[in-house]
Amino acid sequence: MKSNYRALLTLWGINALLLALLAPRWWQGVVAGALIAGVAWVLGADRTSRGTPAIADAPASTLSSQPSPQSTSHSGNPSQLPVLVQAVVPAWRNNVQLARTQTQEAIDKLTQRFVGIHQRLGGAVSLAEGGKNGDVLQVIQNAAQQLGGIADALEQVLTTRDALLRKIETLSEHNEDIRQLGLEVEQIAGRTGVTDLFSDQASWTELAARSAETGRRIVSKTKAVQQQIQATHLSANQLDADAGRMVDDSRMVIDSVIADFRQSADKLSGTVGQLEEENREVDQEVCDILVNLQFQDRISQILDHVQLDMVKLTGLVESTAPLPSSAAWLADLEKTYTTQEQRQVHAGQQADKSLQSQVDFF
Amino acid sequence: MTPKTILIVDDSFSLRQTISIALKGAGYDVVEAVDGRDALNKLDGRKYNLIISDVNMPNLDGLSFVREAKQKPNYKFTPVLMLTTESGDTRKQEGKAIGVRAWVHKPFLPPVLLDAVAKLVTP
Repeated sequence: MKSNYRALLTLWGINALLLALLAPRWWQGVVAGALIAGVAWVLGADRTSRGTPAIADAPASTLSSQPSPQSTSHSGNPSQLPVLVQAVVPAWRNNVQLARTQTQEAIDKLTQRFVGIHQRLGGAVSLAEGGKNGDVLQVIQNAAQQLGGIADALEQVLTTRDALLRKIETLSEHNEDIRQLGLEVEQIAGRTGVTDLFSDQASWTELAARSAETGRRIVSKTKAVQQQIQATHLSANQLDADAGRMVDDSRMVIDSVIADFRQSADKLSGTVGQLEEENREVDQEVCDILVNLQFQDRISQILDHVQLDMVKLTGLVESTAPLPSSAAWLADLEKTYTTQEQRQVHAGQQADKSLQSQVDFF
Repeated sequence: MTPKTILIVDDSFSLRQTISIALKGAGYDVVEAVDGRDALNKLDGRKYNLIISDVNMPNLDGLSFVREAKQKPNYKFTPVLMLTTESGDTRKQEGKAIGVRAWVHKPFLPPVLLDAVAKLVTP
């Protein structure tokens, strides 16, 4: 029976190792605490009088879930111990497996959601990049060019109107010339009617009278035309001044509106840039969380080693083979370890919990 | 330019996702396999510029997978990087002997993994 106790002490050592590794997480502590409590119940009150391996010397803080002194006062029949081990250890193993499965499923779901967040953030950042850099500012730039073109066209109209005015002035000058010619016709006709002595008197008198009348009508008509030209010129000048002011006002309004739009667009662009940066930072946080979820992989492997050792213990109890020493058992257990932190804890050291990548190239 | 393709072999869903996000963020295409057996099925003629594999996996472990992959003419020279919690020298030497080019310890930091990938990935 001594060997059975030794084996159970070994089990206690394994569980102490588990507790030391998992205590930073509450549910891990619960699992490990249950295991230790069970071992203590099986071992009875005299377990403390036996030597314990280094692995059991876990930090005091990780052993807070050990059974109370009252629970160690049980004194069972040692001959029943193998039966008890065969009955209890599989239950522990199933519980450990349950914890592994549930943790794995929870981590997978958590991962899936974080991956979803990462993908959505990536999409949002892409959208923000488009909004910040391109469209709005380009639209405003185009609008400024097009509206500036309208103002230029209006100015071109004014230039054309100026040319028209100059032509009206020229026309007015020509009209004045015609008026002078009309006056001269009238004067000549007057003289002709009086001085021509070699023609038919009546015909010349009539011709003179008609020429004089025509001259008067020319003068009268050119006077009317001149008045119309002056009125048109006055109106055109007035219109020209009004149109010039309108063009200037339009240009000012266009410049002001464009400036307002540009300012708003700049603010919008700045805000989008800030949101983009925030998105990037949140995305980085999400990626960091995913990186840190790697702990599940290690925990699963550690629990796997514990489960395998439980299987080994059960098999040993069921067999008639002599039990190995606790030192030999622990040495075999150590060979199954994959991580440096498991070896550190096994040697009674603090596990290095810092996240660090090591690379070996061959 | 066609992105380079990397085969990721790991039985942990969250690990595959984490590795995948890091690689895709660096511009690589990724194909995932859930264990060594699944990975062998995915060595179907596709070109991989690198294989990243875990060691401890159900059905077919990582080193056995690499051993079988190296028997296939199309993948004989495909570089392999092991990404694992295994830190024992025995397993590392075993990996080196069958043609593994790099051994990266979990937990990994993405920049460290990407640096190692950049050094190994084929043109």
